[in-house]
Amino acid sequence: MSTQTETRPSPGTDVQPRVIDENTDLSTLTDQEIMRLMEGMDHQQEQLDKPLISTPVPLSVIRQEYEKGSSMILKKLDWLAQNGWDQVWRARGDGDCFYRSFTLAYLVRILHSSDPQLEANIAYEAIQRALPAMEEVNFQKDLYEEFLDPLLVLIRSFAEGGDDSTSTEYGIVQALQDPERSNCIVVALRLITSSYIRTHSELFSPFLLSPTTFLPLSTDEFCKSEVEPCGKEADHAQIMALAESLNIGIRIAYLDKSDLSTSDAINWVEFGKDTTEQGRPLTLLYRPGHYDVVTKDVLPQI
Amino acid sequence: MASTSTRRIQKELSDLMNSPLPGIQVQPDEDNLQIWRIIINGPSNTPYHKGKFQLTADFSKEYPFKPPTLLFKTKMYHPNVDSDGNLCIGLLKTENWKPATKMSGVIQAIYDLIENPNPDDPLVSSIAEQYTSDKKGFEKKAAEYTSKYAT
Repeated sequence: MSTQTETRPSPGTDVQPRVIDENTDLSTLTDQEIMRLMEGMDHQQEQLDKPLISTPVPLSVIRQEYEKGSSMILKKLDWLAQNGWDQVWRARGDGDCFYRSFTLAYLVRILHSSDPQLEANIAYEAIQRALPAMEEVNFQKDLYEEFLDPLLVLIRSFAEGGDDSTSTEYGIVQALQDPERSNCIVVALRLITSSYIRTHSELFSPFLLSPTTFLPLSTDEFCKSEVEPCGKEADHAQIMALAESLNIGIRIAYLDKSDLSTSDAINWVEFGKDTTEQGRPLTLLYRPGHYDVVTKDVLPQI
Repeated sequence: MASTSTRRIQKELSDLMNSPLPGIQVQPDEDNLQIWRIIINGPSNTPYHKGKFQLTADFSKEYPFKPPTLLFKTKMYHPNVDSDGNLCIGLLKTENWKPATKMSGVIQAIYDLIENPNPDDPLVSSIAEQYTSDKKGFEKKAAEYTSKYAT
């Protein structure tokens, strides 16, 4: 027991951090609070009670959280709704939300394609092509294969067609709510991301910064501290690496207070090769410190 | 069906049985594969060299997504091991832990830490201070502890 802290209030510790919950107006979060949320989310019981990934909720549920908040964010949400982006699949805020959102969107994209068997085979091949980089950076084959297996099983079940129970939206969500499979896939994607960054060091090294100190990190340091451990949130470098590695387009709708740069009423940040409507990119919703999946209920059949 | 955790523990164990690390023995608990006993022979050219240091490794159900907990059961005089046997090693910290880290790597890192203490990130700052300022005194004390507790 220390009495020192009671008699000697030090600056910065006398202000109790406010409680941030479902009712907090997210547009009022400070950078510090966002950082704290990102780092500490996995320790909050409230987070642990949430499913790893949810069945879709209407976009209006997200809108309700912002009703008293920034008009700019509401404007962006309304634009999404008017343009058919009407459902959100929420990922648990445990620092793995990008990778889980990616997996869900990746599988749902296959499911809703005009030829799921073909798309599944393309996805399977894309993953196989990402594996030599893992060998190159000396990841242990038996280990990454074990982590990768649940994802390949899911993709194979699409490739084989048939009436497998996972070949539905509900089946995908169920598979990704199972902690074992879901966490294995997160680790596998982290390893794919890391091996891509490590084998394309010259491309990434100018952008590899510590998210806490903003100081540059070496490729090895960055991958060891920001990519490979679970619970470390993905930023642009990781997202770009995963998109490039698996040859998939990703569009992220930024739900922030920034002004709009284009005639679109939302800022989409794009990664990977083909982010046009035809390329059917994965679509994620970003709120500071968190990623979810946003989709149109009826997907365009191309 | 064996869980990821059990499968992985079995695999790590069989790897260590098939290619044992020199100077290191690993035995799982008879009733519970999730608890291992590890015995490390003190590295030569260190004050620990005549000792045998026992650790336990405790694997949670979340392993390998969460790190195992390693604890020294043998008292040792070392800047990175406290009197309760806790050890301070970067790769076992929850925020740094990588699920692909193998147990052989973990044990090797502990062996390296015994061999080369890290006074810059100490668990017992008084020992770290002595290690930096009075190496002879540190070595004498460490050797005393070793002969008293580890032989």
